Amino acid sequence: MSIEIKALNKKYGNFTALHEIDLVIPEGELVALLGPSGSGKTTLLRIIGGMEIPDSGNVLFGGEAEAQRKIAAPRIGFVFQNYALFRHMTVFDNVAFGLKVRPRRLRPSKKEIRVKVAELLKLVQLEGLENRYPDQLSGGQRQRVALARALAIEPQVLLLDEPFGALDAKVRQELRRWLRQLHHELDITTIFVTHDQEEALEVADQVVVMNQGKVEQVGTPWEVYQQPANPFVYQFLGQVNQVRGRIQDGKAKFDSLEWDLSGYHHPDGKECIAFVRPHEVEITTEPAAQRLQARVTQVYPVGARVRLEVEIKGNSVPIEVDITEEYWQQSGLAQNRSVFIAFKKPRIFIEGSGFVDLDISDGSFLSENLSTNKRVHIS
Amino acid sequence: MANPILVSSRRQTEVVNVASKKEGIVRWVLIGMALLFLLLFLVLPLVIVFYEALQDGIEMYLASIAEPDAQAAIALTLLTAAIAVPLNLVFGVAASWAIAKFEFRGKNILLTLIDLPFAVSPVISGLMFVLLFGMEGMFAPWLEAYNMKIVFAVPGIVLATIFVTFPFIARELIPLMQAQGTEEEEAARMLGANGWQIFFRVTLPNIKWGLLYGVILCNARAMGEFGAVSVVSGHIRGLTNTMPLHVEILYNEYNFAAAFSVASLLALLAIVTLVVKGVVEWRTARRGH
Amino acid sequence: MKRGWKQFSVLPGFSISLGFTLLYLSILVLLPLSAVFLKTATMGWEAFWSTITDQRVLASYRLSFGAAFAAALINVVFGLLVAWVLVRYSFPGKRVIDGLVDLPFALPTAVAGIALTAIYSENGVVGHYLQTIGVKVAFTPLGVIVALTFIGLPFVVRTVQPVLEDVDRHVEEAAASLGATRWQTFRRVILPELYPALLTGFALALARALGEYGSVVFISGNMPMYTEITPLLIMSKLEQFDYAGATALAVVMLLASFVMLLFINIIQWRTGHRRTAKGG
Repeated sequence: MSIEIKALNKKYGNFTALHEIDLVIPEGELVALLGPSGSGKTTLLRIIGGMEIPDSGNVLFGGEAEAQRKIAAPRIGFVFQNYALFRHMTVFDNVAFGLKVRPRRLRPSKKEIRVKVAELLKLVQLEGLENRYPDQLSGGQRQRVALARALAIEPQVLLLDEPFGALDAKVRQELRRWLRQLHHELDITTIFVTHDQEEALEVADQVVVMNQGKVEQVGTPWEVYQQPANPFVYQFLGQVNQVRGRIQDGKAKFDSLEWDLSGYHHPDGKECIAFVRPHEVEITTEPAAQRLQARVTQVYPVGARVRLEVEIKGNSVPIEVDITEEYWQQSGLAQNRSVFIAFKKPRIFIEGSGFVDLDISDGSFLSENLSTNKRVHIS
Repeated sequence: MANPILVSSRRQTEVVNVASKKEGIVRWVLIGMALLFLLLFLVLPLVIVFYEALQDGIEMYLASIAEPDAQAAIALTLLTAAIAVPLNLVFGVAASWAIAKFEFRGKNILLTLIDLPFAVSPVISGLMFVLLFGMEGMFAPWLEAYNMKIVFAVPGIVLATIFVTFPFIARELIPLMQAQGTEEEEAARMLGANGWQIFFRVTLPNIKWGLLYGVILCNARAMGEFGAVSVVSGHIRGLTNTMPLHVEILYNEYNFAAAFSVASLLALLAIVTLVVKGVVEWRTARRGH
Repeated sequence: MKRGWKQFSVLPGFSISLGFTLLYLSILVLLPLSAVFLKTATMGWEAFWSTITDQRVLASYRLSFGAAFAAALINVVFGLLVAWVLVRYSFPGKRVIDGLVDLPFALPTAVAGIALTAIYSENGVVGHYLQTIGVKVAFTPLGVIVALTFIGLPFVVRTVQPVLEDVDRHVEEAAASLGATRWQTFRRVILPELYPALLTGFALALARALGEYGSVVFISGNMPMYTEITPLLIMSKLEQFDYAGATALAVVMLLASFVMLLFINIIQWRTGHRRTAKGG
């Protein structure tokens, strides 16, 4: 069942939780609402689920228009952040609940319920735990019971509020993959809320990036990571270095770095920011043409990769560089070493105009040359 | 050169030892004082009730209880509780559902109103009903027309008892239900349950121990109410006397053993109430809620 | 949509539960209370004033309020002691004692009244010892204080206990490591945290004691101008069918009760405030 959200607004007192949200969720998709706390993602989820009422705007299901909606139709499965399992009921009773409370004529027989619950428990890999109570289960197990319980009513839409938030990192990883696979099998339109960008990128078909009540970008995981629509999205998904500068004489100037923007018409004086991801910075100990000199200030080995902080002369903010552990071993990079760096794929964000993607095919950029002040154009 | 760290740590241990020895004495002195206070004010009264009741022997004890007026008083007390407690139960559940599961303005006023009987003297509680339903009361002409008697009759006693005891169940349930939150109920709703199903299947099992204690306490207070009932009852022996009033009558006639005998039944009820409370607390602690 | 007054919730049953609650409260509380004030209104100011300022009545105010105040104070001191001992120490029979603290709550006031009289009268268990040192308890204001102490006992203990349980042991250890003695730690670190609870407990005990009837009338002896509490005066007036007089006194007592309730609410509101500010 597809969902269309039109011009949704919601305020709590003076706080704007949602501002003019327009969104379309195609049928059968697995969508992540991603954003920091206070971005409005949980509010949006709850409004879709009917647990809160918007100040204005509509949530339309399956192409219909609805003014007043009852919970009963469409069938929505909701998984709460803290699972909200019925603490005094066994796993079996929890999962069977939605079936047992159906009005008499729609209620399945006891036998049918037993079969259905067994099926669901098998689906979530919790067979044999029917008679346990929630406080006897681990976090991951409780999560799956909550999911099974929501699935029991055969929902047309499945909503999950920070489903993996309270779990250990390892369990989270397993469940993430498992959720993706489950969605593949069941094909129910699913929306989940998360503040963990890694989770959103790994699990979802579409990612809706939200911030302060607004939708910043909607796209596939690849799109939002590789082609962020604005600085917020850039920063929120993955690490990024930002270097601030200004446009002067048709060039983007960042302290001692310059890029020629001939071919783009941008007024002088505008602010611009260069964005480059840490793993898109090349770093060597040998000087070479078109490389910028820098000094390593910190080294952080983290598992399979090594993070370095380098300072470029004339740039106040250190640049973060992310390299493989293997390369680090080979290169002999260490603290206080003099190094040379190049930006592989910088994107320049110009205030008011959006991003400029620079094609730097040879991996070089405009370098500062203090003595001669020569400038090299980018090919 | 002596290792400064070792030296100071030994001194610290010494200091700690002296401190804990002093602390040990302080501890036991405090415990002693507290126990003495409690002994004097709590244990003694309880013990004395049974002691005095059995002063004249067990046969007198049983006879006092079996005596017709005493039996009538016991019957009236039970009847009053049987009406007051269920009514207050419904109220308690309704009030705590509204207050604990929803957000609305004016909750504080509501809570204050519910706490009111605690702040009002029992005598005044009884007085209010006399002013309403007594001979010169607001509803007097209406009552006369239908030949109904409320004050100086059983209905008045029941009403006064309901007033004085209605907060107990609510006050027990409200914090309990507030602490439990609304998520389970919301989840039940999302799964399609209607109001009654939500209450009976999800909420009730979670509050059952608190509810039990509230009912037991409400019952104990209802059976033991004295001041308010005293004003309203008219003290007609065998007809409008509850157990506490009967105790008063016996006492004023210097029939001490009999008075304490009847009183001992109420004291037993109090003890049962306390035991139930202990069980409830043990059960809720065990569940880890 | 009742926006602004009530927040939306998916849960059903609000109207019916609130409606029933309000109905019950109106019939049971608001209606009878208004009867009291209405009746007083018919009395006329002068009659009202002379009734509530009569000598005997004034004496009863002094006794009721004075004894209640004294009893509440005693309960603050010993209630704190009991709460401390119950929370901090373990000793055999602790659970039983803890349960017993609620006895004044569960025991009918009349039973408490005759029991206390039996203990403190001249030939009572404690009474006859006290008599040898010349202290008379039963049938004196002292007896009233004893009865009111019994009644108010659980209030301070039960309000202080949870707060005491919440006291961060680490803070105490920090104080000790900085050189504070046990007493200093208690006075400067722990006690300030307990003030709101102590105040609330005091106010609750006081409010309860002000209107107490059953446990007092037996031990006091009800001698006019000496051991007559205000509720008893109300009772006497009723027995003489002086409804107006009884009501006048009731109004005074009600006003005092309302002030106390207001006071308690303010304390709870302010400490609730403070607690959120501390982020706790």
